[in-house]
Amino acid sequence: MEEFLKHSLFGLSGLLGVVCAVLVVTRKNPIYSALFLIVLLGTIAIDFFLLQAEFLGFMQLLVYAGAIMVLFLFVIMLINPRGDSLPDEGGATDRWVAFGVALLIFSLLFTAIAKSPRLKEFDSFPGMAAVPETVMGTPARTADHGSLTAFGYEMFTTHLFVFELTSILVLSAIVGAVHLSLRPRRRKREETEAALDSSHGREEHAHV
Amino acid sequence: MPINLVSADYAAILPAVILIATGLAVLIADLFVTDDGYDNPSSEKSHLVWIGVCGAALAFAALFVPSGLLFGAWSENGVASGSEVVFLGALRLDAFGGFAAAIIIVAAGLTTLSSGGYLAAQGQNRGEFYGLVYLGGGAMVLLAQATNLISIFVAIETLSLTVYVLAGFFRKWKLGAEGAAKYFILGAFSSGFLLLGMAFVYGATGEISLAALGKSTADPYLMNVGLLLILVGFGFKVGAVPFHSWVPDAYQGAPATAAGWMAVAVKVCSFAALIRVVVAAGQGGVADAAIGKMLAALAVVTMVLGNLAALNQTNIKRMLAYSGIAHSGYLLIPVVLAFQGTPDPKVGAGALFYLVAYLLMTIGAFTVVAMVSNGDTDREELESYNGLAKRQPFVAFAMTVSLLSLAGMPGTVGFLGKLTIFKDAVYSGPYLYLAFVGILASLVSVYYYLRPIVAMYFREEGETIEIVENNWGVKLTLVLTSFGTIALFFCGKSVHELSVRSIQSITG
Repeated sequence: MEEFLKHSLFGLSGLLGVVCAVLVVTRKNPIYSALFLIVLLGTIAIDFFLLQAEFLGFMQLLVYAGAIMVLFLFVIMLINPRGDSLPDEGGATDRWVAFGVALLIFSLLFTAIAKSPRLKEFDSFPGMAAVPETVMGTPARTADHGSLTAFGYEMFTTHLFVFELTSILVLSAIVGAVHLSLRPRRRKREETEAALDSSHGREEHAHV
Repeated sequence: MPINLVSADYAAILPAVILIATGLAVLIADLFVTDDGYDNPSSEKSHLVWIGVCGAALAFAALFVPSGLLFGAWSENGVASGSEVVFLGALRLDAFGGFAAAIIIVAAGLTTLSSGGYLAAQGQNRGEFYGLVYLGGGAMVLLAQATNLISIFVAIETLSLTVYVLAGFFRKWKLGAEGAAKYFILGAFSSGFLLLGMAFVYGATGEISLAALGKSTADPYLMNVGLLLILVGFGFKVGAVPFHSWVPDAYQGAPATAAGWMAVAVKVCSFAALIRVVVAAGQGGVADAAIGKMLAALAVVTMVLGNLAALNQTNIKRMLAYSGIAHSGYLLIPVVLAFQGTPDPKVGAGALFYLVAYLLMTIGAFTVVAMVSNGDTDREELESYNGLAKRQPFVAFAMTVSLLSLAGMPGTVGFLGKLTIFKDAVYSGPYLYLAFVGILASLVSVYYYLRPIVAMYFREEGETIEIVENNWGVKLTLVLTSFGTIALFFCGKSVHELSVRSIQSITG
């Protein structure tokens, strides 16, 4: 019964995910695209939970579906694009080429998974079985696999160096973002005022 | 599992740590310049340049300390140094990483030296430029040493972020914003391929170390698809055709000295990581032979299309960008040979030696572009070079040396580099045709490399253009690059031997 529930949950979330992914690409209005993307990220979180990777599942919800997508929506609403103000997308030829490339990549990835001999092993839902017994000589299939403790332990021992390196990554990103977004000081006030004026104007326009 | 750091751990990361510390020092030192215009920093800030150059010199010296990366290969005659896995497999202390690190560090030093006057003339001499060069440089050095999938990915992301910003560093340029946006989006896209490929390899082997690429697995097809996706990701990073569309726009919009940095340093570390990947994959025999053929096809297409597209460029930066694509094609030849796993363990050495040549000639050429354009986009067209030899004979000479070396003319190190690569291909047997295509492609390339030279020496100056800004750092860079380009032709043997010993530290 539990197996059946897991399978049906996976089937439902997978189906929902695919439908949402298609809608993200096809919707003309960016707000709808962003909203469907949130649902899509949620379905991926469900997959993580089914694989007993609770920590990743929560991170997926908190970081992607939560923080990043809220930022997305804010940016979209600030730019406030109308349907007719969006630039034309590529012509029919571009679309066919893109479709062809996408089909090629899909078939490559699909066969990679379909041809896998492991697929036959998965009579029951993978869960633990998908995790190799040892990673770099240390047992990986511990009882608390996927939990915060196991995750943190790995991060601060095996991958300590890479963890430290990410601090340089974040620092570079901050330095770069500050440089690219810093505005000239003298004109700053004028620009802010101009931006405020135009946003007021837009609101009035919306009321009319 | 407690972590005990031993001296090898420290020795392995010392050059990278020095580079990153230099980047931080530059960022902090920039804060003390208070009398500079905030919106238009146009003073030369030579103290920042000095901090940068000293940091690069220190990092270079750190390669040669006892138990340092290059110490073994340099001192023990012909014996590869004992290489060690450090940080639980994240990095490896070996001469191969050391050799690539040396090129990256020299590139960082030369870029700093040539940028001060150029950025100041643009009114954009901000400390962030040098900070990003050195932070990115540290990540590049670590990428050249990285031996597991996670450290490779994080190092690539770190260095990519810094070069995206450098590509759009001149915020006033519309072209800069366009180039940086294209570079960023395509770079993120290619990172997706890389990461998916890594996930597949992990799925097939259950290991994240590069050595896993060579081990037999129950699922070879998944493993090969993963390897293919990883190679596509690297193809984007080195700008191989058909993944090259971002290169001309990114180089054209970037500050000229940053374009030189992007061309050299990103290629060096990406090719170093790529060679590690193909050596690991090729040695095991799990990787499908078809992947070798695909790599060879990639090399052919990149060499041919890169050179053909460069033929009718009128903008010197775009021309050098397509030339950079073509050089990625030449550099893919040793990668193909290393994948094939010939009994000769030194086939990849051609790539390392060629990258030294590429460093000197490319930085030289982009420094001249920086001097002539002086920050003005209109002066990046070929016509701006008309009659340059009369006004600035030394600058014209340095440009000529760099271009002739890029074309592979005898008398310059570019010739030796091409010779090494093509010779390896000829001896390899099945990939003889790569050498044939490469020689034909470089013959074609002579045409477009000669066009600026003809303009400089044989054309009359059309309109009177201001004499380019002169600056000690730029001049010193040009002296070093043109001297190095010529000198290494005559005494490149020791560098070549060092590159051979370096490659043996991963293949032998």
